[in-house]
Amino acid sequence: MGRIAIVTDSTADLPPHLYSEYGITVVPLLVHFGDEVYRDGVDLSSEGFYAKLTSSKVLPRTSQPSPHDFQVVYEDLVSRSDGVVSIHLSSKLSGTYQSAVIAAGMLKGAPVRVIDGRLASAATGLLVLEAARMARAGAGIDDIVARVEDLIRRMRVFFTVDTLEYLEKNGRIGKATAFLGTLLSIRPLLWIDDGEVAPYEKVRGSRQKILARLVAVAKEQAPAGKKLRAAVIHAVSPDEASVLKDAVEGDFACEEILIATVGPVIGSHTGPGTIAIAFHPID
Amino acid sequence: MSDRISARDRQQEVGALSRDSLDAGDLARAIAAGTEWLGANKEFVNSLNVFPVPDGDTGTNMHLTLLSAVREVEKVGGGTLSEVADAAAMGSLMGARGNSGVIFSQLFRGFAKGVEGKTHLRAQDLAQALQSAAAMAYKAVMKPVEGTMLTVAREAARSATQGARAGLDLLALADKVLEDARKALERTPEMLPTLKEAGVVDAGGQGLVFFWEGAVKALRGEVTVGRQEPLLQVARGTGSGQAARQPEATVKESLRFRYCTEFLLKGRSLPLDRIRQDLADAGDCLLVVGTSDVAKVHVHTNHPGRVLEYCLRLGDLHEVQINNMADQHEEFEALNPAGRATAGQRNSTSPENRENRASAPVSLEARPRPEAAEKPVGIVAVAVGEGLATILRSLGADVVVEGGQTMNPSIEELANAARQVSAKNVIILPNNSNVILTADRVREFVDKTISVVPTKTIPQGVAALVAFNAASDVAANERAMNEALGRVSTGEVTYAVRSSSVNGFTIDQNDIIGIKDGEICAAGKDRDEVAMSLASQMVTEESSLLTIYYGQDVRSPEAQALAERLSDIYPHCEVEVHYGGQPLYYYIMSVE
Repeated sequence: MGRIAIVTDSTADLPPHLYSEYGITVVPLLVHFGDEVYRDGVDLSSEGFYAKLTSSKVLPRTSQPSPHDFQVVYEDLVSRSDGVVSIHLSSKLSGTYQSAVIAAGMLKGAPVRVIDGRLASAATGLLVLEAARMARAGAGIDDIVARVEDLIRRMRVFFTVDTLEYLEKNGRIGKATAFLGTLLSIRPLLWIDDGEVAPYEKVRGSRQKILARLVAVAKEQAPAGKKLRAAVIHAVSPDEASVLKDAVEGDFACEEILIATVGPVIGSHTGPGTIAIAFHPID
Repeated sequence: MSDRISARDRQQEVGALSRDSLDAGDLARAIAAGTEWLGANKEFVNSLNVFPVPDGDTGTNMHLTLLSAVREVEKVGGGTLSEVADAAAMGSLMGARGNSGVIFSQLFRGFAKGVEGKTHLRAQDLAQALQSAAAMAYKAVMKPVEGTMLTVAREAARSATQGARAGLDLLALADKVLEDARKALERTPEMLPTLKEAGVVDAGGQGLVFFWEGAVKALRGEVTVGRQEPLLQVARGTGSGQAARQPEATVKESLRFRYCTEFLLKGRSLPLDRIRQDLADAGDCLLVVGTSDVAKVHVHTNHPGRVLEYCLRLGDLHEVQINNMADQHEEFEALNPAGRATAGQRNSTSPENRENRASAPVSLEARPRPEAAEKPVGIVAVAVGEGLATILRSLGADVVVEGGQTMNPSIEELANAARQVSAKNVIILPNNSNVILTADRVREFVDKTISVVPTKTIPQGVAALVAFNAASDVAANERAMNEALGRVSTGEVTYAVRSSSVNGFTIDQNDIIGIKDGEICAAGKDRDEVAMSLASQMVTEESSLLTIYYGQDVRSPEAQALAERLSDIYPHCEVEVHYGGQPLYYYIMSVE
């Protein structure tokens, strides 16, 4: 008792050991390959997912947790904490936030605060981690919510995908439709702007070229002279991720840098080869 | 003394061979004859390209520019000499194609300024007008180069001034000007080393000389064409049945809007900018020029009535002409706008009039402009070849104007394209060095903010489009696009239209030549070998992408085979092949 409980969903893509270390409750989304249904991160690991993705004839679909899934979690946590802060994938990308809000509404008067993270993957994860650390330090629910809302505004996420096909087929392409249909091969540099995928820049040339550009853009956008917390997020390209991590560590004043894997749900929407840099200033 | 008198008597006897002055009809005939003579010789002018590449079209450009001047002169249907000159200036400006066309339009503009208010030109007046013409053309070119048509125009003007001081009569003066213009033309290779190396005189200068030859012949009454079949009918008024000769079919008309509607609007403090804005949606080819007292309005529209009604609120209409452009024979008829409006009220059941009543004046005046749908920045690009056009569109060009290597678009075509784009800020990508100057003038005719990113080649245009970000403002985009130009190198593979010696290469007619960023750097008999040699001079260790756009005369497997060879030699480079469909150029390559 006397603590705020932190809840997120499986798209926060934090390394699993952090969830157990900080006692974060993760509500899984579902991944469907045809008739097979998997709970994200429970029945299906990232490695297993990408292996299936390349071998499967059908493209995976995903579905949000039901309000009931959240209700069960919230009821349990409310009974043994001072309150719940539940942080989720952008409402423009998923109905997960909606389910959580409905569930919170069913627990009349209970101190459950649901936050639309307006981000995705380990960028949401960085919010969750900060909230969990504050909760562990004994912060109150209002302070945690205010801090998370502030970080959402200051978080930057830049990423590239091998092909826009996955984002397009799943209807998550957002404003990056502007990059579709280019007859020349371009590599899209994207970002998450106000909760949805947006085009940032087109790059022609090799994979190395766009990775270098990804670091350069992150550097341009990082606030000068501030310490950062960052994450490099990859869809099964650990070698590239570690090159990127080294570049980021060399270029930024990073207090902490995570390497995370794009999990099955986000991976269903972005495809293999996705790689991202997310960061926020610490103060 | 007695000699002079007898000389004058002799001149009066021979009539047409002697002139004290020329009038409006003479000027119109001279412009028409000059145009005709240049037209007859345009292929020769086309062949005078510095590079022996098959895109020399200076002659065609100048001829089309002049045809537009002639057509405008026909449309004013006479008037004073000053009005004829104004019409030629406006027509040539609207139809100006290529650098030579733009410069020609400035010569006309300067000429018109020089004869302002005049009804007759004596030798002294002609000299002054030619000086004014040359001065205007020099002013229009940001970095005037000697050894070009500018030099020829200036020398002609200087010659005319000398002749006038020496007391030559009009015809003698014209002859002297022609002779001195020819001499100046012959000296152009001495002034421009590139001309000398190519062994040609300046094409624009040659075009100007042809024009002057034709004009002088007309002044002498030597042009027979004009007599057999009048090129122009210079008559006052707007009488019906004024069957003007149709200009060559090369002047394309868009028939999306059927009625060419033209009139003078007279009023007090006419808001020209607002008129332009309010009529912008009425059709295309909109032109509102003039002063706050009198404006000429020209528009192609499907609803001339609405345009007239709108303008009636601002002033009186004069010399109204509405021409159905679908008709083969250009027949102008004066239309009484008041009569039309009255008929409309009486017969409100006809669908046309119902439509008019329902939306006419309101739609022109108070139609909410589609701000919401407007983008912050739109793009007009120039390209020839369906493949290239599709690629540019796919990269975000809103309108692709056909043109470039074989046909430079006119200011009017570019202006129409800029108007079509639903954005207040329009960036134009000329994609050809000979279109940049034309593009630079578009802003004078379009009520939008026009920027020109001076792309000289298709690869530069592609690089600029890749750097374009629809979410950024114009300034940021202009900066990013200009920066992008420096990161791409352009190669072109074509054939030589004549034998020549350039950059140390001895080139026979029909040889294949490779051009890197404007310089010939490879030549030979085999298309692929020239392409390989060109590529070897473009690819560096830092290059990471080589893109090949193959033209309409190359088959896809041939282009693929070339790409494979290049890919083997340059493993560090990705090689992409696309169908460009461009004429004359087998391959356009870009390395970045």
